Amino acid sequence: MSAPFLSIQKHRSEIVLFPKGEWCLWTLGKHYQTLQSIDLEDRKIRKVIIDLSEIFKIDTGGAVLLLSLKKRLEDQKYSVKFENGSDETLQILNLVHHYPLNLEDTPKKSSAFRSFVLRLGEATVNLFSLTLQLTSFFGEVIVTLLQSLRKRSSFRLISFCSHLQDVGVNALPIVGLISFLIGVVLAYQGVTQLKRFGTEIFTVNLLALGILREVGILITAIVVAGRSGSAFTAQIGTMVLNEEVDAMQTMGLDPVNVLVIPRIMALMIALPLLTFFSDIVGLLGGAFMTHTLMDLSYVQFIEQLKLAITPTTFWVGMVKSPFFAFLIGLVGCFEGLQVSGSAESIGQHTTKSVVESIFLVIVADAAFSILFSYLGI
Amino acid sequence: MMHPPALSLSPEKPVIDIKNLVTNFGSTLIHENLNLTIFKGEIIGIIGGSGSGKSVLLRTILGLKPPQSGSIRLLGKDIYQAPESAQEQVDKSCGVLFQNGALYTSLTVRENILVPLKEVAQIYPPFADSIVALKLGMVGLPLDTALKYPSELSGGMTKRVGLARALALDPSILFLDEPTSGLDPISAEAFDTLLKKLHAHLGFTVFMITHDLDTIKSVCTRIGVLLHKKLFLGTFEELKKMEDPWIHDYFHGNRARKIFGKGF
Ligand SMILES: Nc1ncnc2c1ncn2[C@@H]1O[C@H](COP(=O)(O)OP(=O)(O)OP(=O)(O)O)[C@@H](O)[C@H]1O
Ligand SMILES: [Mg+2]
Repeated sequence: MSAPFLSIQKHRSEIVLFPKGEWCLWTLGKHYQTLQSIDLEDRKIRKVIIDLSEIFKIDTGGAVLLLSLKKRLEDQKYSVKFENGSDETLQILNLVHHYPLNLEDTPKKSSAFRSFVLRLGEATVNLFSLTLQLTSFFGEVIVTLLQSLRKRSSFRLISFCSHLQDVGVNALPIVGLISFLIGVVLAYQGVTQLKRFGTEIFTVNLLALGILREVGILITAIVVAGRSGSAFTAQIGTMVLNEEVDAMQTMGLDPVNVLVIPRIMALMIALPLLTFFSDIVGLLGGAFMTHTLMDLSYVQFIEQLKLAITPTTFWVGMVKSPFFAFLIGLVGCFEGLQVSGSAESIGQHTTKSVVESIFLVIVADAAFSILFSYLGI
Repeated sequence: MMHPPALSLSPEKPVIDIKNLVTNFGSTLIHENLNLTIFKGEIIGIIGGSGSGKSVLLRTILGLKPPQSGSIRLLGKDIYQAPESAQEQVDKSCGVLFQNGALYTSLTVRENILVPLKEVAQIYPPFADSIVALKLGMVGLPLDTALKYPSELSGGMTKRVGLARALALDPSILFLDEPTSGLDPISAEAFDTLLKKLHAHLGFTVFMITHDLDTIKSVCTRIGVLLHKKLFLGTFEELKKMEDPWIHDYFHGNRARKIFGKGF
């Protein structure tokens, strides 16, 4: 039996193996499998010589292969010797054989059931500890917020303003575009359905109530969660990885005060303003669509709007926005501070931050609905 | 007992050949008409003040920062003229240890070491483990490091894993950016010994940036001083005699005197 890179000669008292050619990392993939299948199958001759004279080039990878071949043969009770190696070959073999050649502690695979139970337990414990941590972070933020209200000088005005620009002003185009389109879509559905009853003028009521109470704030909150909540997580997470947050702490700077408060405050100012903007643009979109579909003039639209809503309708939507902003900022910053270890972790926490904040926003919205229905608003 | 081969210098074919290199960041010149020729089997130590452009020189040689002008030949190929094939050349024949380790944070140490291998060859799991064990052994790390993530390593361990990864392909040129900074003196000395041993057995060429006076004295065959945007290359003895104030202070300062002896 032989392969192009290894030939085997059987003599009377010994077996000689001739490794040939390049024994280098790039060629080893092929060598490895064939070497594993080599079996000398000889009961009598116990002496094996590996003749290195035909090796043309060798590196540490090749040496590892030769040494593990030798070891495997020795385990099968052959006596194995290297012979005729060039200086270079012998040197590399000599270097490599000083070092360990297997990792003993590769992790053992546990059974599927066991690992399922493990994962379930881990996830449950994580869920509780996460809730606990988020709650305590919530407390910390509130305390720091109150402190900075009392002691103005500790408030980071410049940082606050730059975040305000980022999460507020820079979000105007996308929030505006999406709101306008949603207004258009709602108006279209309203007109086509209500036309059947000849009451298409009530599309305006539908638009007014829908956008002012729910859609405007929800759309804005979701866009901001995706845009700014994720950015908060990535920014703070990168700082954690870079040990910037640790450095801050050693300088007596409180990360919550320096990083979290300005961001949350900026969001709490920006989100109501964005919501107002979204309400107006959404109604504009609706007005544009009703004008196109049913020749309703803009003046008539406004007249009908006045009949449809009271200031309460507007405030019911508006009042929710600072709360949503707080949730988004809280979760974004919290997830950022949870980042540890690797670049991958930033990605995971950014995803989590967006998913969690949108989830919490919708839960909070449901809670507000229940509250308002009790209050009869 | 085997003896390392004598250094085989072949002057006709340089491994790294830099001619009239000029690099800049915007209007700041970092290197101006810098020349450097390194032959097979040399261990070149690059010294120079902080911010003098050593790491930038390394990045330029590796093809990561295009120069303003000048030519860089790596193993006879101009890496900025024939980028594709030359970049492959760099990948295969160069091992690099960056100043901060530059380990992939989302991979374990084992996977980090296997990254360069997987690029060039098909590697089977048990064999991969052998290679990882060998490289970890070479840089003096315990085998249980293999399953750790970079964030679980100390600064010195990160350096060593970086070195193990640089050695993964048995490179013919090894680039090291401050390999011993952040190591304790005993580990630093062990590193010097290791480098000499590997160099003797594997016969690679080393381009090493270092501030470590011991390493310079005991390991390097020639020393390059990066100064005034240029490189002054010479043996230890030659540089010692140079007039330039910085070089003079470098070789005659208090620390240097402790290491190099009272004689100068
Ligand atoms: N990406 C960059 N943009 C602008 N300037 C840079 C950049 N990278 C490096 N520099 C500048 O180039 C110069 C050389 O930097 P380099 O990192 O090579 O220093 P060094 O010699 O390696 O120093 P050290 O010994 O401290 O590592 C410095 O003045 C640095 O400010
Ligand atoms: Mg540097």
